[in-house]
Amino acid sequence: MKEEIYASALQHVVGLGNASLGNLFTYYESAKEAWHHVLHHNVEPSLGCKYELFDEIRRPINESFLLQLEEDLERFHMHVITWESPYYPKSLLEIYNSPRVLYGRGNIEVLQHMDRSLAMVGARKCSSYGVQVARYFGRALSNLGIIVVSGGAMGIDRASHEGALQGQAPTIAVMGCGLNVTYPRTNRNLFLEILEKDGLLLSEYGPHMQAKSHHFPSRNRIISGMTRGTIVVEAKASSGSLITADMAINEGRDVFTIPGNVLTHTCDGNHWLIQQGATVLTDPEQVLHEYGWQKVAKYSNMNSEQVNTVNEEEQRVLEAMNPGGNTTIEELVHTTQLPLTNLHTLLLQLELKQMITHTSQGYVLHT
Amino acid sequence: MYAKTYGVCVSGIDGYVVTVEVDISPGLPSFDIVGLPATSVKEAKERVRSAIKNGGFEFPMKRIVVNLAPAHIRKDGSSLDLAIAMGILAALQEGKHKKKQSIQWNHHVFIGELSLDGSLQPVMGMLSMVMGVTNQELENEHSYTSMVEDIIVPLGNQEEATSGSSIPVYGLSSLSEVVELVEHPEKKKHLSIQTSIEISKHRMEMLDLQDVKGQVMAKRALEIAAAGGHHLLMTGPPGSGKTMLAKRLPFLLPPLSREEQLEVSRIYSVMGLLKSGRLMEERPFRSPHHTSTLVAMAGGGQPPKPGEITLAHKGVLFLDEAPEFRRPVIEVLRQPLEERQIHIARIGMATTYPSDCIVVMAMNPCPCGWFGTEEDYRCTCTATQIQRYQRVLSGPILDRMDLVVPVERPTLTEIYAPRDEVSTKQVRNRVIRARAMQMERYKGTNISVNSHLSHSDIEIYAKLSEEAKNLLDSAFTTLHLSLRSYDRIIKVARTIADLAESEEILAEHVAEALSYRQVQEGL
Repeated sequence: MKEEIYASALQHVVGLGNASLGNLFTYYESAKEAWHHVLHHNVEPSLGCKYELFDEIRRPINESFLLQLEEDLERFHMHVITWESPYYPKSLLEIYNSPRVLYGRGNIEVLQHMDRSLAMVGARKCSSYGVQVARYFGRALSNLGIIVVSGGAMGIDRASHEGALQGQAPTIAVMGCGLNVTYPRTNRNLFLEILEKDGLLLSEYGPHMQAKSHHFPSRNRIISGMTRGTIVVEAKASSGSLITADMAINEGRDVFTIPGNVLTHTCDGNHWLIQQGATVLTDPEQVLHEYGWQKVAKYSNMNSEQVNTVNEEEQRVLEAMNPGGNTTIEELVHTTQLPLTNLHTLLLQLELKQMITHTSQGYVLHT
Repeated sequence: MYAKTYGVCVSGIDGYVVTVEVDISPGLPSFDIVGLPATSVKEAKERVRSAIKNGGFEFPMKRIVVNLAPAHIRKDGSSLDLAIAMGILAALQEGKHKKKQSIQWNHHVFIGELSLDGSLQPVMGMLSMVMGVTNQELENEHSYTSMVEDIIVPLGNQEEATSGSSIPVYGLSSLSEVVELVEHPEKKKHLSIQTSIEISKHRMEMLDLQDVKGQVMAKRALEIAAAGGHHLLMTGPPGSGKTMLAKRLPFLLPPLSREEQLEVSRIYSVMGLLKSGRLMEERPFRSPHHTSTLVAMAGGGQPPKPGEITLAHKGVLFLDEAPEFRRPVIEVLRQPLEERQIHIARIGMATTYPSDCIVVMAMNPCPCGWFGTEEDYRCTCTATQIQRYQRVLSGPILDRMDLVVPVERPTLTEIYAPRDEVSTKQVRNRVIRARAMQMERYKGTNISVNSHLSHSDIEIYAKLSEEAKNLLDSAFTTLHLSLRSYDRIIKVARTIADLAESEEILAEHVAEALSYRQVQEGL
């Protein structure tokens, strides 16, 4: 049996945190050795390990647990990535309480390119502006050959992944649950698409672990820790995204933020960060400068999209739209003074040219 | 001593003639009713006994058996009281004048409830009952009812009964009056007979579309809904005018035809909701509260009664705060919306009620109502709550909503802006023209409006121009539309073309139809 399985099994033991695991692995030099000592309760007392032979959901930990674990890992295509693994992101080693064991599903090769990665975080409940920004930045960064890392949650996370999936580089979702658990359910298709497009799902939790509220802050430390910098896309005042930004700062990572609308209060967190000295991002290419990254030949020219021609009337509609927000038909009728039937045709044409999006409350201009 | 009279009962919303046979024979005094009477009919015994006595007649101290035919249908309600009482009096008379059969008891149909003092009380479902008599007579020309000359009803029901009957109706106020009329038919002349009821002059106060400021998109959606009979879903924050808009929809529809008036009135008559006995001249607008039960919505109970969906027949069923309804209460609408009628099956009886209405649903964008609006920052819901709220309406129900329209709160400037608001009259004229076009097109089929088109009908009746077809095809690939929405969009485009009085569906009609489609929220 592989070393990783022993390491994974040990990680399940209640009482053995990342620090204890580190001590055990160093002392016994192999996970297998450590496992046998743990199982027979004869661990070197000087290591100070206090544990119970149960996992978090009170399953007894024994030899059959080990076999079951091996089977589950295989069945769910989960790779175990330990500290020693060549895939383990180096940057993650630097952070406080860095996870000894990670689980990956999908293309684990991407973990070797984490020196060219950025995290995108933001509120689950976000404005349509936030979604637009996240999609735009996600796609643009991906097309610059940057790996976008986010949390696979609803709202900004989802939009960031969606944007990145439209681009060229793979994307990584760091989850707060076991990788055979789909959380949130509504993002099932998103996860499937990430896997399909050579992306990676990453987690520090073993198979079957359900999402719990305390998992998310610790997941955030992985997101901010494994990447070069964190972009806060849309965060309200005192939100979880700001905590992630805080962690990033504490671990010596960069924090970027994108300014938003001051009237709607949905971006108050972003603006607070700006006041605290975060780097303001208005153009995705800015990050190339920040890190001295070169444009990757493979990905160049991906950003230039086909230019759509618009006629005079369509231009009139485009000009009447609110930049970065919803525009209702009502407003368009008012400002353009066009008859409703014409307006419908023009809006559909613009939508087909992918310059605007029809939302449940009106239309949104693409950035 | 034997006699036979005719009464009427209601099953569902249909009246049917009941033959009341009375036999009085010597023996220990008793009074039995056979022929599947429900409790309310059994109770008639006490009312009939007292009414006969207090009406100035003699109640025979003999063995009385009353048989209600046909015996296999359960009879409910108090409408048979009069027929039973008249049957007993007829049987007594029969005994007295053995030889000359001058009094023709079975030339009348008796409908009415008796009170203990012998006066006649109005009953529910009068319209269905007289229509039942008239129809039965027409159907079986040689049957026993063909000799029926008139219908005798309580005075309070006269107006309602007259409007649905093709034979004379006499409204009387007591048992003794009824007996007198039957014994002396020549007195009929002195009674005023209303052959048909005049159309009331004062219509219900019309709610005009002009009162709604702005909301061009929603108003247009109402127009399309009215023209093609399409179901409509409105989303918008509280106070944006969703209810105000929905209440104006019935007035955009063409007036009810005489047949439709009778159809709708029958339903209301059975429920005892017909105001002052007049026919329903306005299209019904029903807006059940979201705490309504399944039975209240679909109909049912023992004996079965029509539900809200039937009460909205030929009108509008408005479900405000649709996600707050209990899920089965909304889901039950699926089949009736498709078939435009609802089958209610209960132990011992099954009945079918019509349910051809336009359903208008209104919902907020999130539980608190502010998400995604101008005042988004007021929203206090979590992402999960919003998703759950938006998912409450199931796919099959949303599939039946042909039009989805956002309703925004108007700004103050919009309210005060002097603008030419479209009036109900203008819109209704367009709707009437569009409906006339549909009537012409679907002549000889059972389709009356575009929303009734099935998938195969669409290929026959909803031809797309070349340009429109190309537009629709490219929209499908670019906008990732589901195949299920394909038919819906064409049906709506058909109605938009009808409103523009165009036989062919053009690109602009498809473009407009596409703007009323359901869009996924990007959370």
